[in-house]
Amino acid sequence: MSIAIPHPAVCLLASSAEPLVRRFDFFEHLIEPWTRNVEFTGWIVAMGVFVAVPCAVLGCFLVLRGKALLGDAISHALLAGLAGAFLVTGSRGAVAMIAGAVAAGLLTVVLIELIHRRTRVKEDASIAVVFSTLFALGVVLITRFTEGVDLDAHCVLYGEIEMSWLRPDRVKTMGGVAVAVVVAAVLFFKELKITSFDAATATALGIPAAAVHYALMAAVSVTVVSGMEAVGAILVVAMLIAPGATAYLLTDRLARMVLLAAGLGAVSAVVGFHVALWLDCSTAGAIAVVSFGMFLVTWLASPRHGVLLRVLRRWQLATRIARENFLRAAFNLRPSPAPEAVVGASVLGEQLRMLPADLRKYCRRLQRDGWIECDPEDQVRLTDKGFRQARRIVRAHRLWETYLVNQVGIALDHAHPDAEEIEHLLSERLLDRVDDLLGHPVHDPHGKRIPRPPELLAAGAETHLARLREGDVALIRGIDGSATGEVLSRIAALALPLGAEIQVVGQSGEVDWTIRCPDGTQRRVDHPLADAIRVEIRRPVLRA
Amino acid sequence: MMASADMLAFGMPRILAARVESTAGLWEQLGAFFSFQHVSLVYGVVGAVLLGVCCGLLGSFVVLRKMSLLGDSIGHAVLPGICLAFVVVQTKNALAIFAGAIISGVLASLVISVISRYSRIKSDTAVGLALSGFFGLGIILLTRIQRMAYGDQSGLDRYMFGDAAALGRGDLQLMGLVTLVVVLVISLFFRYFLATSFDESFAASIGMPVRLIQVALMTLLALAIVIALQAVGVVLVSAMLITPAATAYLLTDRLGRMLALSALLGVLSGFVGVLLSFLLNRIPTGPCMVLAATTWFGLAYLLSPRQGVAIRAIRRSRRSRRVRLENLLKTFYHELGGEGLDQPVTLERLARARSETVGYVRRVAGTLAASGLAGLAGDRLTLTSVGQQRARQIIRNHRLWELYLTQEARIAADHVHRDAEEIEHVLGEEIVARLEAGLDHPDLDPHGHEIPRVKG
Repeated sequence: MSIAIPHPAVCLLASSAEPLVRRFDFFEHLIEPWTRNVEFTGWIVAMGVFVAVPCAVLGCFLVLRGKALLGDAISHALLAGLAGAFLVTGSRGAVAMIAGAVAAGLLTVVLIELIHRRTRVKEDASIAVVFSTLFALGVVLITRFTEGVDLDAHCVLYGEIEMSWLRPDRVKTMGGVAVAVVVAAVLFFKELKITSFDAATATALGIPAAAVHYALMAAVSVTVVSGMEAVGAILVVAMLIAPGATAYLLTDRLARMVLLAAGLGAVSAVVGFHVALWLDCSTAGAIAVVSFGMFLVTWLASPRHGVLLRVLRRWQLATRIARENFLRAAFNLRPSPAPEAVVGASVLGEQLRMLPADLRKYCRRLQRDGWIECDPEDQVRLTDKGFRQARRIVRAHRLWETYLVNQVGIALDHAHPDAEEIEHLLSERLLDRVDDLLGHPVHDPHGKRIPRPPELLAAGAETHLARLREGDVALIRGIDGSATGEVLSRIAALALPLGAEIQVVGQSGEVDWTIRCPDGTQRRVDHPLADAIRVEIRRPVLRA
Repeated sequence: MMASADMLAFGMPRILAARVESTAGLWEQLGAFFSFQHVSLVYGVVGAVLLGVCCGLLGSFVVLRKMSLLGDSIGHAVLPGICLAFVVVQTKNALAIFAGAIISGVLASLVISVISRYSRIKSDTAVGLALSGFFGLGIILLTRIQRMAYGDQSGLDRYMFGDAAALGRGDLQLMGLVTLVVVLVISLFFRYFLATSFDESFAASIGMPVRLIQVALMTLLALAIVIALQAVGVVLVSAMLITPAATAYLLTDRLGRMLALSALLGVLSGFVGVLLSFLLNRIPTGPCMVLAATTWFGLAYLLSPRQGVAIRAIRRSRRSRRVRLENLLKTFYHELGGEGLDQPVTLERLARARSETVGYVRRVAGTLAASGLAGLAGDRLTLTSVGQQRARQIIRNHRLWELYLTQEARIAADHVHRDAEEIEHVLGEEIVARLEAGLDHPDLDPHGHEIPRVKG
């Protein structure tokens, strides 16, 4: 041929009598199969579901046991079993075939274990050696001894589910297998469950783990051999693995996983049938691709383990951290403690190691979101919202540094990097606990003031005495409900006047408070008591 | 619907044309084979040999990295690439199809590694998922191509079932090229492959580009798999990759030797496979190659000097036979109280002392007599001088060890017998001499029994 090769897309559309992807016709591909050719549709879909459900149920246990590929191995090794059964009995009857299948399936499992238990060859290599050998043996037996017998390698791979409507008896047999497998799985659910998760416990409880394992493998063999004729080895493998793996991503409970897998298997059979009608292609292939597609979608979007969601969460965290770092820098670099002080963008850029262009873009974004205001001379001012956020972060940072130095005993010059990380992750409640544990310090170990939200200390706010600092004026409101016996008796001994106005006149080492009562007497209150006494603030002194 | 025989033996008549006549004898057929007169026969042999080298080398790394089933998966996953390449180019352009196959094979291996890294799905499940998903897509495309009015699409099947006998000159050139690339890359970057195959984190720590090496290996693997597909087909490709390498793994501990051995076994499998398929008539080459490879594996499994199951069983049974003999010698010594070891003892007495049946003791005594350690006259057993020496040695080993355990390891005297019972059979002369020296040539064991001297 001497034609210039056109662009692939053009090629797909123009060069053949039929395009690669046909137009989807709602009625022709979705509705009509169920209105006009009900018998045709019904038998095929029934066959698909009858294969998918038992495979999916058994597949859950294979996936959990880390034996997913054993299903694949068994499905290939069955060829030797079928050929052997035919050679021995001379018949293609169902009994002979199923006996051959079970024998080949168990032989596969036993041989694989013989190799990887007894030598240093690992399980994966053992599987590859065994199943390829048995498949090759099957091919040789068939070509050598069974001339003209209807054991078809094409059929072994692709299957011919499309022919189901011509052979309802096969569909009925498969239905029987499906029912048997499901019933067996329900009856022995407890045994399967415990041996799948913890074979040692199972043995200790008197459940024969090895016997359950071999029974499971025998069930897989029977299902695979009955299904293979209809849908081919590859679809059987798809049905054994994909629905189970998909369900595994969606739930942590085995019963739910099995039900979900069965449902997903059945749905992919139905959807695959319609896809095959639409594309006019192999139904088995379409079902396999649909189930793989279901897995991919679940993997990307599942609420718990979905990759997209995790990426999104990580991205959100990263942007929040970047923003908080910017706000903190603006807060720290303010020339004066007043909230409306401005910082030059160039100073910020230097601190955050950002290029001027990036910095300008970033400032604009933060301004759009209402965190800062940026004037034409590139002066950055924190908005109210931005200021509060920045204060929160600085408080977290300085409290954490104080905690590391005072309580954990980490050297002063080593506390900063750790606080840098954790400041973004500490919740407000945890911070309050840390603050309390430290005795509500005014300064961090570097001598910088630890900012606190002024709402907590505005006139009229109720809080603990421990939050008050020198100069604060407050009313005694009562005793905290959580105070216990000893604290209560000591508070009683102080004889504080309920409802009276007090002023903090001295505070030492952040462990005790000296207050002056209206009658002019002074009392010393230590930290546990200060935490238990509730006060209403009247006139707070200004703090940063 | 075609019978599998026809399917798998696609192109078979060409190689069979080299046969003399189906009725001719084995020797004539062998003669016809080894005269290499027929081009298709030579092609088949050369292809099989190249394949053996290529797959054998790469397979070693695959086996060591525990990714054996990845080969199977890539083998299946190339189908959509082959079909798409065919759709795009519209002819069976070997190079385009080759490129398509490689792209989709590498893509599948990426999908597998991404799924197993970023989800709780284990890697074996991921391999199975990609295998069935990609292959399903391939089948969809294949059936689409058959429905579309394309020209000659027969032969796409060749990638599914493969046939070494149908290889053409172009195929061989491609195979040779791939083998050359594989050999070159592996010999140039041997150190990198070695380090990453055994200890990835170590390799990373000394600055090796671990990811890059992984991707390079995957690409080479995809190359090798695609050329192997034409010869043995999709199912058996993993056998060509894994079986020779697993066999070599049983035979040696050194990576260099393993590579060479694995390549050699691959070549041998390929050659024997073609020969068998030729001799047996009508049996396709792929399965023959696989069965040949498995035969080597089976032999190594049983007979490998260090790993062989049969060899180890033989060693074990020899050891237990020696223990049985030595235990009887020991009983003999106990019965005679260490004095006059040349006196005869009845089998019945020995049996009573050992709580065994007379029949068992008679069997062991027979072995003793056969190995020249004792003489058996009727029911009475007499030790030869060699036998007496051995009996003293065993008792000495036992008592020395007991003494060692009580004195050096400070174990109570009533706890040492069991342990000495085990170890008395394995202590070598040199260790015994050092024990004796270390314990200052003692005369009595912790139970107050005499430690017999062995006249050297």
